[in-house]
Amino acid sequence: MNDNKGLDDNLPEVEVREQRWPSPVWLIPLAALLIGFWLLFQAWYQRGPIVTVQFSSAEGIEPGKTEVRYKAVTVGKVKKLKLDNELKYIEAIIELNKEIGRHLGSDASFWVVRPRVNRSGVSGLGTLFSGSYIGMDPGTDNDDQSFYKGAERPPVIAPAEDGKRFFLISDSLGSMDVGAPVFYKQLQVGEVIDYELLDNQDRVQLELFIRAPYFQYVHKNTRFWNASGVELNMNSTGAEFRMESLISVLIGGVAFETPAGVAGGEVSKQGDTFVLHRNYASSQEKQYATRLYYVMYFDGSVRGMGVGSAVEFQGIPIGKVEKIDLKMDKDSLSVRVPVLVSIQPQYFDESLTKETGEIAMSKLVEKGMRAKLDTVSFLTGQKVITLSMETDPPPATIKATQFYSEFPTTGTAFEELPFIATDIMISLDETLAGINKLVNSGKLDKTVDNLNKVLAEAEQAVKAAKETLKTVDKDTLPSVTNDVNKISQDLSNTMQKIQGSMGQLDRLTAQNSPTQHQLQEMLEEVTAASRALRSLTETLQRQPSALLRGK
Amino acid sequence: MAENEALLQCRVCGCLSHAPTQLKRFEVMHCPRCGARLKLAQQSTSVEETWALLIAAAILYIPANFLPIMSVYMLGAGQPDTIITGVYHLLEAGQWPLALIVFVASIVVPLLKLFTLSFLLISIQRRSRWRQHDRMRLYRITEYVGRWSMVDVFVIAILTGLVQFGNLARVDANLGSLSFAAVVVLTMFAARTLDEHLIWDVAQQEEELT
Repeated sequence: MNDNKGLDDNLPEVEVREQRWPSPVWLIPLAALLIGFWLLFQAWYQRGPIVTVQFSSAEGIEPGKTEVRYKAVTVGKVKKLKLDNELKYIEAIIELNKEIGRHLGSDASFWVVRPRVNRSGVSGLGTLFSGSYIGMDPGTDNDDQSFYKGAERPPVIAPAEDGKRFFLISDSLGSMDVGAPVFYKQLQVGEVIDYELLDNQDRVQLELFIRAPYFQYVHKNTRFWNASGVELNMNSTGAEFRMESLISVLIGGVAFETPAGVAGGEVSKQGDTFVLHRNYASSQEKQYATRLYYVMYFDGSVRGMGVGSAVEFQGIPIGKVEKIDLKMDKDSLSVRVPVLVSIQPQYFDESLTKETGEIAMSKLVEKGMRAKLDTVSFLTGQKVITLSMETDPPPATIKATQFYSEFPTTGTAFEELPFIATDIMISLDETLAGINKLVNSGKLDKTVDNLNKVLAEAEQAVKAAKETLKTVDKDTLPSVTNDVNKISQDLSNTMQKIQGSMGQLDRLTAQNSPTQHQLQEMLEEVTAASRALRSLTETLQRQPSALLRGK
Repeated sequence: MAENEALLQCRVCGCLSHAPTQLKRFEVMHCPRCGARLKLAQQSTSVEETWALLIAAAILYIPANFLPIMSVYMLGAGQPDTIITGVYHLLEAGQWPLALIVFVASIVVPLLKLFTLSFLLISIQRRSRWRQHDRMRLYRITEYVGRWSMVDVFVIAILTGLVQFGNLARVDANLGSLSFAAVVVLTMFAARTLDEHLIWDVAQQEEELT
């Protein structure tokens, strides 16, 4: 007990500390709570707006899979697809993420991206594997809404580069598409970024983007032309082949150039509008705005002439054929071919306007200007309309009609043929009349009398000749006849001999003649011999020793 | 007797020391030599620690199930999957045995662990004497099975490490897998810290009393 007590005395006291805090193990649930809250907050925070987008078709869109991308960055996903109330459209419920949700504007656009061929080869190839995705552009303002209409094709996203935009007006889109290249001296300097059909103008407006250093080559008088495909021109000067680039052959393109000899004018401003010419050739034509329209009636065939055929004056094209028609008068059943042409009078004088041009033209017609068909090439049969000053033509004027004024014409060389024929007929007529006169004048009777006399004399001469012939017969004929008989006998002998030998020959060559048979046998023998000879030589070739040792 | 009872031995350094006869609230005992915490049997913190870990696990169980755990991208297509959608996709693909395994290992087992451990803790705290043998067995099963939930975490870890072929195929781990792993680890620790002796404490104390 004492020992115990002594031990007890040496023992230290337990250290007692105050611990007001709960066990530190409770930090773990606290941390878990914080982490859990943080994770859920993150998930909630990153949840962006949910929008409904209307598309005409759900082709390629899969709920839960199809992504929404902006500049190739995934910014959302299609959650659900449903049909709208009228079963006309489909509505895609799209969940966007927070970042894009902040920038979502009321003018945001959505469109489905599918594989597409354009200037940079094939785009959207990735969608072949990943499926289509929905492209989007968040728009400019921040008034987001929950319903959008999906676009059918990607909107114009202006290239972020430095450059200028121009507009082109064209009759048709041709093979142009967004992304079609723009060439300047066969350098690609820009692209087509948009096109639209102009309302109530029946024309297409293309929007071009031309990159930074190159837009300075676009002047006021710069010509743009459609460089799509291959240009093959066959005209009076021969054949011409033109092609901008292989890409443009495939997907179209625009080229521009400021024609030499034309003052370029100042550098164009952004947004200027130009005309898109159909091809290079038409872009290089002098651009005279004033055009006078005339209708011309030609009597002959207009084969070899078409819309676009040239109207020339002394070899210089001053206009072209706009339209060729057929017109029949119901009462008289006379069919005429009205050819509508446009003439640019400014080729004659640049100062001419439409009004003064018309006056000038009518004055020229008064002076003898006529239109006629001219064949430029007998090979192709191509024709042009030439305006030329006729010497002393029947007087004519430009006749104003209901639609277009009528321009006086004159026939072509071929059309002149009938006139020439008439001339010939006339001279033939004259000749006949002369003959008639001769017959009726009485001189002919005298001539006939003379002729009778001549004939009587001739009769006498013939009689004399007969006499002479008789004497000849008596003296010389017998001897000649004997000779001839002898010769003919010899001849028949020879013939008989020849016949005999021919008969023998016949027999020799007849189908079943012994000679034939023998000949055949002999030939067979020779064939067999030659075969044996060949086998012998072959054997010898293979083993020459056979000559000594036998086979 | 009273003095004998007041003698305490430190489990760390073996130092014997006098214990104060009465401890006030918030007062705890420490070894005078090494400073280690000295506990009496009835002062066991096992229940408290287990509760703490269990609550942490329960909290993280929510994001583990609601956040995507893994994203599989094949040929550029794919999306993050939560556990449930993963099971759903497996079922859709007709792989129902796999779906069953994933469902049991990833959803049922952690949930069962949470419930059984809570049940055990509550029964201990209420000093229940109800079917102690069965509760003992339940505890052992829970502790044994718990580790198998880690299979999921390992699969994600391995796939994320191996399948990285750029656009061809890619597997990414998401935040959900992190919290799921935390749930599994925390429940394992909770099962560890739960002192199974406590189930029998009631019996022992009653014996002492009698």
